[in-house]
Amino acid sequence: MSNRVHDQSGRTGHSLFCCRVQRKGASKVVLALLTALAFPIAMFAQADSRAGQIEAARKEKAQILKPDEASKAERAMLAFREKKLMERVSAGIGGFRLKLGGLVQGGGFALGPEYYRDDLADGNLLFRTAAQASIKGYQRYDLQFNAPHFARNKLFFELFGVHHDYRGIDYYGPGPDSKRSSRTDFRIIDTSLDGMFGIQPIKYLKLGVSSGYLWTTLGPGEDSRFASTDKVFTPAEAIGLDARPDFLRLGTFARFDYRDNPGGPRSGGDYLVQYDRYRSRPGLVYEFRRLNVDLAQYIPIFNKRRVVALHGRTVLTYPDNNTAVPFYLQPTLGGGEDLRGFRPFRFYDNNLLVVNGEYRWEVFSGLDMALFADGGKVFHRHADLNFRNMEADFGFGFRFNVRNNVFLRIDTAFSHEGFQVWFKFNNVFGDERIRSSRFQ
Amino acid sequence: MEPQRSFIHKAVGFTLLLIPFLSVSMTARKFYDDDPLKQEPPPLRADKVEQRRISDAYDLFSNTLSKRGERATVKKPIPARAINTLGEVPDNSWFTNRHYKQQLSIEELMRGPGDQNAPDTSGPLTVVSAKTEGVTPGFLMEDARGRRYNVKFDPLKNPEMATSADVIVSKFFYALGYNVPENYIFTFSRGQLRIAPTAKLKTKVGKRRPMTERDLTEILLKAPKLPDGRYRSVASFYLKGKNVGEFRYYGTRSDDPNDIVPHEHRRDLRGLRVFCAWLGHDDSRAINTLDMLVEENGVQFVKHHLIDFGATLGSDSYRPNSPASGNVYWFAWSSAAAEFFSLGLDVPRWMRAHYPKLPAVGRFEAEVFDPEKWVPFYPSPAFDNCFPDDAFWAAKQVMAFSDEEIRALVKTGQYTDRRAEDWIVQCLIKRRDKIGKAYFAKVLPLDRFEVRDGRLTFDDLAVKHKFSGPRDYAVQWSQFDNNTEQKTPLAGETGLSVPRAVQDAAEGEYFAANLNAGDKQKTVTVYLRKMAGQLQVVGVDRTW
Repeated sequence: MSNRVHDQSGRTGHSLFCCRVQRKGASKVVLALLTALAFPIAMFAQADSRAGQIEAARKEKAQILKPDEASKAERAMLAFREKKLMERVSAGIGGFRLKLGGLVQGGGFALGPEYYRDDLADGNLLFRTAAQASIKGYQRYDLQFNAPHFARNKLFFELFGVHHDYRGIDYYGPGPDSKRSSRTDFRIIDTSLDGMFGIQPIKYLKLGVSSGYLWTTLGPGEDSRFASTDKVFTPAEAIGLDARPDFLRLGTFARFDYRDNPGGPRSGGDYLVQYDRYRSRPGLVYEFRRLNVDLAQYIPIFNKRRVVALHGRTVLTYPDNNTAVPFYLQPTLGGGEDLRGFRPFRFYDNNLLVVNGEYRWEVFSGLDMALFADGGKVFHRHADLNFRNMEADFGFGFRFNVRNNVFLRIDTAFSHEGFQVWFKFNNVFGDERIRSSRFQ
Repeated sequence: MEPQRSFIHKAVGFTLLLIPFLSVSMTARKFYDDDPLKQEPPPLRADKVEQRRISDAYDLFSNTLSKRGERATVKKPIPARAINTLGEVPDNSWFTNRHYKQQLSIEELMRGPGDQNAPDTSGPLTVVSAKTEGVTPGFLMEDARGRRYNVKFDPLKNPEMATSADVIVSKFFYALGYNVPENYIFTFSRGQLRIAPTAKLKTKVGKRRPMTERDLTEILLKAPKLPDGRYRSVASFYLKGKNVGEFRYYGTRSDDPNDIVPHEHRRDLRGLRVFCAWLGHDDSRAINTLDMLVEENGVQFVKHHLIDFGATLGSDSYRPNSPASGNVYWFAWSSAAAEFFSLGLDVPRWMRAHYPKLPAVGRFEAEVFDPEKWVPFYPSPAFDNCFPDDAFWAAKQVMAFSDEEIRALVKTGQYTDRRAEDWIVQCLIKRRDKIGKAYFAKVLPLDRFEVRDGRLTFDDLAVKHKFSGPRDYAVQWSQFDNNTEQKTPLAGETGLSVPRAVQDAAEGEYFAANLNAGDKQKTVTVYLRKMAGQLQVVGVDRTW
């Protein structure tokens, strides 16, 4: 190859004139032709130098200047950005906006209004409240005051109230041996009010106490495909089916979170230990303590373009005074956050152990893929806290992200009970919330 | 109808008759008397240029999903334009030959586009508005003398990373020849700032409201503090003229009479690829450019600038750059497919790159860096059209920076950690050498031709920079017909000594010397012209 052409001008005159000839009638062909020829003649007549050639080309262009307009598509994208339409939808009008999703797994597509303010007390206080309903008739109302960075990030507190009306929560019976065919459902209407206060003594570490009060009502499930839980299981099997007292919860927690980016971690770890005491009201029908240990570790490989994510969680419940744990407050296994090859709420019991391993790799900057395997079980006796007789699944997933924050996760998981596909708008693992209600 | 048709026939016939004459008159000579042009003629008045914005998202998607502009291919190369007959870019509104043409002193290099406009802190510094565009916090400020600056900060976890990069790289680009703003490392205390009564802030939903002390505090909370409580920033002096929007890396501005060469064919933009690779400027997209309508010598015209260098030298402005940056486009079907189907087992070399644990550096390195494989964040038509001669033009300018000059320029970033400065310097030196080695091998890298003492002299840049040992050159002298471009070999004239026939040539005669160093694919043809009794080098052609 060579560079032998030295064309300074990039002339466009000839093609322009061809267009004009086409537009005008045949009687004007000659005029156009002569003009087309005359122009270069005129141009070259004065362009007997390189500089003249450039000047001629400029003068030629000066004849056909027009506004440098963007295409329709570009104008639309520009307007979208400059008018901040995305931000407006996100921020809403006067603090009001639309909230999508966020109900319990299996609750169906939900939406509703949300009022959101993060500019109160000079930006130190966040307030939000929302009301949502799903196509399946599930409802959720919540209210939150949050001060996550109080006293120069040394203190934090939160008040959170939520009311759920979930009309068809699955229940398969107690224990790890519950049958898939035993699927029933129940309606739960609960209201909880939680308060949390904590300190951050050092970077990454949070220590705090929390308290909450929970009101619960149960009813027959409304999914016509399945029998209602109260028709299939007795109160002896589904403890709490007959007595549904309120609960007072007192707890403490410690969290050490040094993930590099909580929205889409590629390195670091997130460790949570939470200890709560539940006491029913009125009367000590139920009293138990619960230890929740949730550990996530992200091991980066190849400059964080590959990540091995390991997650383990156990929930151990200690009933006191010979009482039991109502089934609707028992830990559950199954769903898009833990045992992904199984339906939500597939297993209930007092204790739980789940481990997850993911290998993620970056396909391009907006998408990571993952291969994963999950193992877990529920169990009644603490002696069964081991890795034997665990349910298992495996699968693959896509994690779509913007600026490394996952906004959509699609996981497909396979188990001996079939396969499940999950569309989630969060990152998997590590978003354990410290609340009283079992249903977030 | 009949007389009209007859008239048309006659007129067409007359026109056709003109064509042979016209073709003679239109036959462009290879060289004009004013070749090689050192400077483009003064611009025309550009009074119809209006401000317009480019959509960043549109530019990203359109360049990623389609091929914008006119594309050259290996089979169908399109030579660069906006160059003179030597293959150099004449001084123009995009580019001014600086360090390569006439070596700048260390002081001149460090001064860059200017050092007389640092913010005047003798009085209050007035915040005029908050910066809401872009990813880094900042504000628009007026100093005591009413001069305006864009003030930007480092990310909290990476003090000095973005601010140093912004200053250093602006000076490199200035020395290379581009129009850039004056950037200053600027430290101030909170007490020096006051908010103008008219200061506005654009909320995240696009509403403008008065700016408050709280807003300023919010911005400063995102900026790292110096041990003495002050803040370090980069203050970018406002460019002169009227902002008329960004330029694209393809096409031309339809409202600018001086913008006559499609940008994808401009050598100064094709070669920019090499400079960006050297300096780790993968964020060299359209939104980081700026066209300003300026007036010089009584003429208003568009001056084209590169701006915003906070995402260079391993920085991504608000965080360290991704290791993928510069190595793969943000999205490309081929690399995405390879990753997708290999389950991530295909591990490219860049993923194994080592980066220092220096917060001020981000992710910048030289070991894995491969200038030929370097890519910007998304495809750029001008960069895609960068051919070996374009890259050679750029590489020789990169190689013109000595180790000492590089160190001096890096010093302007005012790193407090000497290790960070050393790392950047060493990386730039190694990356410079890789660029020279790669692109001087693509063509026969002969440059700075002259006729001296009866010999044709030149620099063999590969030899000069020790990428190649001394070598012999095969030369064939020819007489050259400037109108027909025919070469008539001068028998027996195969040395670097200028043949007698050439020395004794008549005024206005042209000659060509074709050189190769063993590889006949890689040749350089040097054109000489006798003018005013002197032999003058008027043109250089390269093949590869």
